[in-house]
Amino acid sequence: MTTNSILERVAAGDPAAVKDCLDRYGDLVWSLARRYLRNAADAEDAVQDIFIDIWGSAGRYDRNIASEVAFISTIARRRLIDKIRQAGRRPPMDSMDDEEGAPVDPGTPATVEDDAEVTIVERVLAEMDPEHQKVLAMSLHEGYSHSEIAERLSLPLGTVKTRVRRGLIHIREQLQISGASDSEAELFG
Amino acid sequence: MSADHSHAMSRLDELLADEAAAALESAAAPELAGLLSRNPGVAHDEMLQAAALAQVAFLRRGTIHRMPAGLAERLASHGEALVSRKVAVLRPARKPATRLAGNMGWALAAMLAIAFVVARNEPAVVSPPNDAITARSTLQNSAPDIQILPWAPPTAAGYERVTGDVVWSQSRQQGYMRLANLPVNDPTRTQYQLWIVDPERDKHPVDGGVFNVSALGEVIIPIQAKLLIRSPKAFAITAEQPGGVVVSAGPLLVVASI
Repeated sequence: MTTNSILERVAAGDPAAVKDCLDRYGDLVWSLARRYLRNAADAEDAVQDIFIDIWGSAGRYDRNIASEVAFISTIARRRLIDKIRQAGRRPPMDSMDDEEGAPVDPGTPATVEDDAEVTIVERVLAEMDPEHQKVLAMSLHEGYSHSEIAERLSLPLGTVKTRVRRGLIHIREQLQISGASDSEAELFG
Repeated sequence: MSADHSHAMSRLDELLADEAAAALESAAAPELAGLLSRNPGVAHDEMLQAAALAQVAFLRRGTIHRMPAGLAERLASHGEALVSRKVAVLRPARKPATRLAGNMGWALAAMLAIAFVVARNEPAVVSPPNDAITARSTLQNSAPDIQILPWAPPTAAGYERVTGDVVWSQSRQQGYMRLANLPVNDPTRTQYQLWIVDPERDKHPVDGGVFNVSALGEVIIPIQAKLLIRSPKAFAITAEQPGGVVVSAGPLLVVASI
């Protein structure tokens, strides 16, 4: 029998799943919010909005389409980008300068380390050449625009656009291949 | 596969990647929408998920920060109430099926007209269902910080006879409105919307959910705060377009203040 995932339990109205969801993904969402918002109060508001969105959308979660990390981080990323767009600014490049949210102790298992999709993406990124990785990190993680990346790395704008696009398309393809393999394994397993 | 189709799919991938990287130019948005509508088999979310997972991977190369304990506690309390309420019998009004409105508008109008005639001749007076009364009573008797706030005598035309109260538990982020004599609304035209005034949180009141009143009498409506409430100062009801609005222009029909 398949065990219900945290989001499936949330969708079924299990209140205990809320704490499990926060225990497992709270640090991840908080850390993402810190990347985008310098002010602790803004980050707290954003995290609240994100989790309310996650719990309200849990009924749409389908484990056959994406992992919980993918579902949750996609909602978080979209919400945070919307928030900084509304504020008319881009995310700060350095971390939040408050004392809230201490780093996770060394040795504490990261909440997403056993997620197969994250592992695939880490492998794909590791296989890219360092400059390609740098362009993707600046675009996706550090919030630089394509033109800012081009200026800082002294690359033509077209090259930056192409690298970000090709990188994302490649990651998506590798995730699709992995998903197809999993489906075959389930069918013939 | 034709060369044209192959080119269109390549272009679609480029635009999806731009969107996922938050780099889609506004002029290209209609082109993306058009390509997606012509290629319904393309999973729009997959590129967004690829970008989000890549960001998680980059994040893991740096430092993962622990969510502040206070925030986790507040969220847990609010989330448990929210998740429990999702499957409770008491549900807020659902957004009307606008796609049906065009086809069924006349039928609905006729039904409402009949209901109105019946109501004028012999008002259908209802009481809240027992489960609503029980849920409100349970909260009132079990929450340590329950506040009971009577609605102020309304002055808005047509709402003068409205009475009732709000019960609210700050620790549980849960509450109920009890409303007697709130006029029946036509949900295809307007819906009632509750607002929670919380200046400590935001200058704009927080959406407390939309609801309908389908018969005369007393109703008990669960409060569906869309955000964490910090220090509520008042609860107010407005009549809005179906589905509610993000920011209300008023007027305030019924108000309960702390």
